[in-house]
Amino acid sequence: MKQLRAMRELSTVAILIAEVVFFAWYLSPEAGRAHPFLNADNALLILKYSSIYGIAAVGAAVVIISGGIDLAPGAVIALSGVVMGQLYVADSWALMPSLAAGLLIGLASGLLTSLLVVIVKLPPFIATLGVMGITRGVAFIITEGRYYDVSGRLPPGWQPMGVPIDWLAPIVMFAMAAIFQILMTRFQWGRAVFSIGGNETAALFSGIAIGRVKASVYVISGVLASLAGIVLVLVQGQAKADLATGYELDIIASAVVGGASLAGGRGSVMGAVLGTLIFGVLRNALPQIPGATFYDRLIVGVVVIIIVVADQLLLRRSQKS
Amino acid sequence: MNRARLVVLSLLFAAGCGAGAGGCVIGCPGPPPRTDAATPRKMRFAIIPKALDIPVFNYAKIGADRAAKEYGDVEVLWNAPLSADQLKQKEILESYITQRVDGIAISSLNGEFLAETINRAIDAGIPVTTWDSDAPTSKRIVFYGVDDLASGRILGEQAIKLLNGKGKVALITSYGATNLENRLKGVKEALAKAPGIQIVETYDIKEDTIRAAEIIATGSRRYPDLAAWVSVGGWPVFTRNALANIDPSKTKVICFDTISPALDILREGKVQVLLGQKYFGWGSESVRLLRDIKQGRNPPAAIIDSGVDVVTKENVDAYEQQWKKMEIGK
Amino acid sequence: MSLQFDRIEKTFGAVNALRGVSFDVAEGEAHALVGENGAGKSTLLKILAGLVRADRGEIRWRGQPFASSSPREAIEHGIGMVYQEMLCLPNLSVSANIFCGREITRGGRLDEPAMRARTRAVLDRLSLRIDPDAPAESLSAAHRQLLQVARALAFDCRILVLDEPTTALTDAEADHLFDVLRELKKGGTTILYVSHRIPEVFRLCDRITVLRDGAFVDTFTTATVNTNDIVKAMVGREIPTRAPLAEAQGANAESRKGEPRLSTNRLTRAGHFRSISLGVWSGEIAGLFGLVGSGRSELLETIFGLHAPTAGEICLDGAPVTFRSPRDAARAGVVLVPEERHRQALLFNLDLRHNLVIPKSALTGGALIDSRGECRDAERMLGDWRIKAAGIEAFPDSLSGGNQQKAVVAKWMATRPRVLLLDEPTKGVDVGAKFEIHEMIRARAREGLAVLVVSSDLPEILSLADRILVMKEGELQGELDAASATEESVMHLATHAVVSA
Repeated sequence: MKQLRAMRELSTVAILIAEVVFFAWYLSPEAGRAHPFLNADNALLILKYSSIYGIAAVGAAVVIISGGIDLAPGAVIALSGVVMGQLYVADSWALMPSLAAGLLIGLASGLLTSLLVVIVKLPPFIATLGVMGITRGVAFIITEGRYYDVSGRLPPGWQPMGVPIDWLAPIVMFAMAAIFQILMTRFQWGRAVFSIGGNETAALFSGIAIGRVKASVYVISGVLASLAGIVLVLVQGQAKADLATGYELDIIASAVVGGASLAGGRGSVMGAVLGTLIFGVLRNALPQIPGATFYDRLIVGVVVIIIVVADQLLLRRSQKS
Repeated sequence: MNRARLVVLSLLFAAGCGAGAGGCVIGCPGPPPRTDAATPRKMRFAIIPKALDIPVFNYAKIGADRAAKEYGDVEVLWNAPLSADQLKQKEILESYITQRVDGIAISSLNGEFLAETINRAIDAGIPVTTWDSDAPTSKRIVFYGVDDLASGRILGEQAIKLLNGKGKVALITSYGATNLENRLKGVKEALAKAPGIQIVETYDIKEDTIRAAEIIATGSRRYPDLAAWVSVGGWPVFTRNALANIDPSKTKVICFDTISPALDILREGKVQVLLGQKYFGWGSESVRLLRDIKQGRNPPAAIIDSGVDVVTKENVDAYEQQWKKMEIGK
Repeated sequence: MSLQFDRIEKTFGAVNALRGVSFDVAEGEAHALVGENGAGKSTLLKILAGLVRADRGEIRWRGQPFASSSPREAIEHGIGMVYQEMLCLPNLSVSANIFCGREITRGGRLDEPAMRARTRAVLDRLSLRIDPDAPAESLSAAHRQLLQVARALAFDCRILVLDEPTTALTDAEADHLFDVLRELKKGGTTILYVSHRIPEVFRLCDRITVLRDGAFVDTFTTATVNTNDIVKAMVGREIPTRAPLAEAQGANAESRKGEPRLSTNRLTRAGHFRSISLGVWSGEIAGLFGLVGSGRSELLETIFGLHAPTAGEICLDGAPVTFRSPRDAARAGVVLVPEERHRQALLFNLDLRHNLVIPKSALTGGALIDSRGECRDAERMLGDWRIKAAGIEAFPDSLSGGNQQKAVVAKWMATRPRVLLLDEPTKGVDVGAKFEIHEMIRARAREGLAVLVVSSDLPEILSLADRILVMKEGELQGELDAASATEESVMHLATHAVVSA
């Protein structure tokens, strides 16, 4: 079954490659024109816009592997962005402290979720649904429907640490993916996450500190969501309360497409990032087909089902053998 | 486990994409045919309204598609955020730049915000025009649409006429769109000229037509002696129930947009004046302008005033006939 | 003879639950069915109830063979089942519970008045003053038990089958039930009564059938036998010769010096067990025997830190300790091999190596996983415990039950515990692995480990333990020295029966 796991990762890569190849062919232009899809600018654009989902998907994957679920990322992205916007634009704070404040929002929301799940023992679905409402609500209360023009205040041509801002998003995403991939596969903590997701009772009986580990995954999910929110605001230039509405479903779908099972105990962080890219490519390529705009959601849904079904079949085959 | 499964999985996925892409609306082309020198390649124009869920823009799409069909060498890519979202609209604009379309015509939610991106498109050699809602600070080549300030004034003047210069007036707008801001400004300017007219409140509908009924009900309750509703957008007449409880003898309604069922509501008497824009023109003119630009014929001016049609009980039938003609094609 | 079981056979996978069981029940008699855990009683009942199909053999009622392929059919055949686990829908009313799944309808809609009337009639028959509309959760446990009887009676049943019906009843309530049952008997209902409580069986039943290891032993007429005879029939197999080392091994009374390694002092957990005081010394294997429902697993789990006791204390080497979680307990050297390895001990999404090393790494490992060290340890464990697997990369579901159990024991032994708790350690394990596990437990005990084994398998307890503690319904009934204990003496303590002179 280790082969299965490796194969699942590989299959996510394969799907991404197949997708790119498909659209490269389907959208290839007539002679004498630049390829609208297969070019460096477009690739960077896909990476840029997928990264927001991707950074949060890393956290989502960790939570799902632990057997839980987090519905709050979209709302946390919004609140973190709003807090950062409020402090930086309206209250004229310096940039770094504003960013730090945004991250604290993620930490706070993660801690609240942990409290509800571990101590109050609410089912994660309910707990994170509540946190989602609270967070999004606070964002609306702070902004009262306005938005903050962050790009207006950022110095023109600003390059954080010498990197153009458009590259910032994908770099952060890949950095987070790498860090957490290592944490999940080479550290006791990561194995504990897999154990709890696989069989929480057995993990408890085996001496694993269930409460601590469960709390940590929700905190991680919250902090990563707030990181995604900050990156979103820096890249897009605006902070407002309705940012990232509905993102949580795409984020979860990315993690699932990347190999995470909602039952827990299986999945990978790298896979989740690949999952966001799969959807990012789809979102970029479809509007280039006349008439396909309205099919975006349908195709995303069909793709998720195909992949999850194929996944289940693969799993059952391996269990029989 | 073997590679066969890997291949199968990937093929399944590609098939899914293909099925979805191929199963598009009838008339959707398959993979582009390999052209030879004889067949001229089509020009791909991206037409971007403010959002996909705003009914007025459907007519722009009809106009654009019709024009494309007539010319034969134009392909229209119609895309916008599902609901009004400045950031998403910018994202879509950006992707069309990297996807190297031949031309872009956009109705901007926030012209200021999009200016930088529009300039990037122009710099990359893609001509950009605007329609309905302008981005005047950008390098866009031409704007086609109503003069919002002027049409706002017309709304206000029509209101003054109907009320004989006296009465309480409530305004409806949606904050966050530049063109609506300008219209509102025009309305207020015009109304200011009539000392007997008092603006009691300005409501924000947040581009959500469904809230029209709610707002009108709230306002009517709050101001029982309201003489008129003036709306810079067509929300009150996009559905049949928003004006249901209005008593035309007491309260007049002067409204932007003539999209169905507005004309019916006008005939019923619930609304007295409608200002129609050139809805089909947004699409067809944008295609024509872009095509001209691509073929070397620049427009005469940077702003083309499409004009507004003032529709009242007197001319509503003629207006509707003309409309039907444009809808199904001349 | 009206209800006849003719050579009923049933096998579940590798387990032979019923081996050609044949006996008769007279119409209108109260007939008891007794036997140890695993004797085959529940399987026979399940076949009657339509939950399971016999592999071979036939059941006949008044000469006509019948088989129920579903519980609904069983009801139609006139069989009313009263189960041990109360099938109760707490949020629904009494009459809803009685008619659940068999509602009376009129033209497609529920006929509440009719159901209420029938409910009232049945409750009256049982002399129960309960309101048909009362929510079931408002009833006392005893009434809920009687509700089960009412449910069976609501439909004309010719055969009423009761499986341990008095576990939640006080003596007075049990008397009431027996009165009702006697009335039913007079009315011609045949009663099949399954119970561990021999005295009850003697009070109510006309005849007693004993099953043992899935086979029929004998049918006795109550009036002509006493409890000893029944108990003997229940357990009378060859007591396996104890391993030759049995005499030399294990601590005997003299070597039990000083403080016990593990002791409990009036340990109580409300609703499960009461005032348990026991001690386990280093180097000995203490066995804890009891029938289902005696609270043994709950006791072990409480010692292991899964539940907080409501009274009493746990001591290690004489000093009181509090365990707030299994992690706490394991850290202090107290480990548990749980009863259900699938649900409580094995991680099926991780390979064998991970399963084997996790307790040790979780307790004493650093933050980083030492892959090479762990693989080495895991390989060694496979060898030491003779676990047959395709390698440390195999997954637990590819191992046989016996090897899985060995892995569970191995993973805990790797943490060098001071107290080893085992709950049914050879349940679902083949004979070979069973022997190996016993050997290994004995070896570790010789090295100084204190072992407490819970088992409902009498031969296992007798061969493994140095001392046998017997629990019954949450209380310690007594203690027997293994050398002098017999299956009968243990069974007596466990089943209410009193040893007669």
